[in-house]
Amino acid sequence: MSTSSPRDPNPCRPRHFRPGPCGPEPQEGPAKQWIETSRTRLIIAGALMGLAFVVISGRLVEISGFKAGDAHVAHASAPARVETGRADIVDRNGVLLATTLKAPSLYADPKTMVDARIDMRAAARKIVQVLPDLNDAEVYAKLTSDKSFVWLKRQLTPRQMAAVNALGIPGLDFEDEEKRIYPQGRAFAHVVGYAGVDNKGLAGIERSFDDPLRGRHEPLQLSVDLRVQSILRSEIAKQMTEFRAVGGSGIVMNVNTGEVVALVSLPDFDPNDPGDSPTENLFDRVTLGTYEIGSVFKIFTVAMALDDHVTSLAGGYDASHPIQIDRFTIHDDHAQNRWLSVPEIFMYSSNIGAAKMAVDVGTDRQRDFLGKLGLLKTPNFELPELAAPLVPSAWKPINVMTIGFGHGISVSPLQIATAVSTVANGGTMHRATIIKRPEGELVAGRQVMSEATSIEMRKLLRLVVEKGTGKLAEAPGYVVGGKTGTAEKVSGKHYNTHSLISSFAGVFPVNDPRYFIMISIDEPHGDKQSFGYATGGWVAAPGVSRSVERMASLLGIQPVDEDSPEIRRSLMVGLPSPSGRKFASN
Amino acid sequence: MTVIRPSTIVWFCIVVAVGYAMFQVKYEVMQQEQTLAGLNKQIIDDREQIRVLNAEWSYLTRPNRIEDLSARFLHLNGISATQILPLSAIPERADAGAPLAASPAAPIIPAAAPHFAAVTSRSQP
Repeated sequence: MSTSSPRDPNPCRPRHFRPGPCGPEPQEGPAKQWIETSRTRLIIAGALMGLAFVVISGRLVEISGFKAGDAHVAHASAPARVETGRADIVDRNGVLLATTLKAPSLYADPKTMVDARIDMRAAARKIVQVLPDLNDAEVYAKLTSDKSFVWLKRQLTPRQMAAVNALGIPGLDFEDEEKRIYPQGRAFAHVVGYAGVDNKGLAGIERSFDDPLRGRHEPLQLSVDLRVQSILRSEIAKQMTEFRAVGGSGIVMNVNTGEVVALVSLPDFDPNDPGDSPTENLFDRVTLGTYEIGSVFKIFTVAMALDDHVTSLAGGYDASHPIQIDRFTIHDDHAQNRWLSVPEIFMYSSNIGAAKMAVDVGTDRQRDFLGKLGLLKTPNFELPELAAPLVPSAWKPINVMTIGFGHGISVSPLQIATAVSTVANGGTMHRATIIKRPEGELVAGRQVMSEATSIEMRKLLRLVVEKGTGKLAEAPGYVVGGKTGTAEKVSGKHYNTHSLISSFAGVFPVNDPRYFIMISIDEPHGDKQSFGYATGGWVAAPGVSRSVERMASLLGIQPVDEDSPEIRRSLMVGLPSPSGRKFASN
Repeated sequence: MTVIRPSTIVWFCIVVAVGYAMFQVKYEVMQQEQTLAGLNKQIIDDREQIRVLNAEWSYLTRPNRIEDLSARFLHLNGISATQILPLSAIPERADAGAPLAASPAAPIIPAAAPHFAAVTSRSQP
């Protein structure tokens, strides 16, 4: 590059080879150095830009070439799901129990209506004509109020919406709201509960799972089974009608997992319109009601005595005379007036025998044992309506005796279900739950009594149905075992001999327990068919029998022949013969 | 006079083509997006409908209603334990052509009231 080259007329035009100098190029000195520095900088900047382009092209190839089926991209274009403010509730087979649907709500904008010069009185009259449950005067008052937004009616049906639109009154408009629907109506009133107009859960699962239900899309699956629930409910209703009872309750529980399969409290209400029923119908007898359950409690007394080896199936107590303690007399309803063996005490439901057995076990051990079965504190359960049991504050000798046969302590049917399930299933206590456990999941439990005790108790429970007070609970093929209970209700300070709670608590098939079932009938009246009796064996047991017959095949229980030698052997109990000799029961 | 080099023409054509293609793709994408939005709305509407129909299905298959309908039109009774057999009680067919065994399998529970003597002779599962 020489300075002698001729000056270019346009030194900056593009060149195709060796760029010439745009101006005089300094040979040396600081000027040359600056130019060198600038060139270096240009090269660096150019290289950086080039690199950036390479990165961008690389990314382009990556996205278009290799990530075409990326889930991330596909997700962005997937349709949004239906947004509801509350997740559905389904039963263990996926049947819909509660769902949320869109429902338009009608509001008015009185200011617009004034501007449109509408005759408010005529408008109010027209609105009431298509929505007859509104009040003419109230609507008029709302329309003439000095507001720009008043609700007229929440959650209309599509037909009502069309009718209001047909009126053609300006200033009326709809806003989509959500309405909670309970397609199964009363069947699960006390389980599912209900939600208010603002989608807030007010009772049952709707209340205890209010937050989770708002925040999820997948339905909440309960452990209850609609078919079993429906059977239990109809059979309890039938017994209530037959014996003119004021109420009834029932529960079916899986003894090996603690899952509640059916939970019925009658009278009930329609969760779609809970205000329509008397408030006392909202009361859940199974979880919120506590009752002196009577002889059903002897299950725990005998289990406790057997587990503590205070007595054995061969042992017995003298039940020939009533017990006098303080100012009370304990006597037997099915009095045999003789020495009774432990199986006889259980099958004839002897109060005297049970009281003596409880005394033999002792105060502390009785309290411990009942505590271990969860009968002395509020159960841990998912429904918000839970009652604490009524337990004597000072555990006096008289309490030990009466608790031995189920008086002087009030517990909820839910607690009975959990405790009897424990006694029957081999002695493992499972927490009761109404949420479905995953299929085949190993359920943790606490061993609270020996398996041997549990096996002996199964025999005794069977004996009651085979020969004792619970004969009417028999359901051929399903080997029901259980215990009857009849308790007098407390009215004021005394027991009322004419208002009873009659129950049957049982397990089926008792040779290999799968399910617990209990039915309680509140204030039954004996009729001709029951020869005037209103006891658990006459009132509740037939309901259990029919329920088991109907629900067992649905629960996947294969019928067996109770008279087959294997089952006879597994449930055999030695009973003393009237002459004192013992023979195998058959 | 400046001469337009052929490379310039080529580059110019490429720029025009790329520009055209880009706008073409852009409009195509916009249209597709519109279709997608339409379809998504349709899907949401359909899902909403499905929810309504599910609720209605659950309502119409209430056990009491089915029971009433069954009593009115079908005259069926509940299943009893005498009607249930274990799989092992069904006799195996010796060969495809042979007729089934003449005597049907015995139910687990005899239909008549069970009595001890009759039972002991029968094999049980």
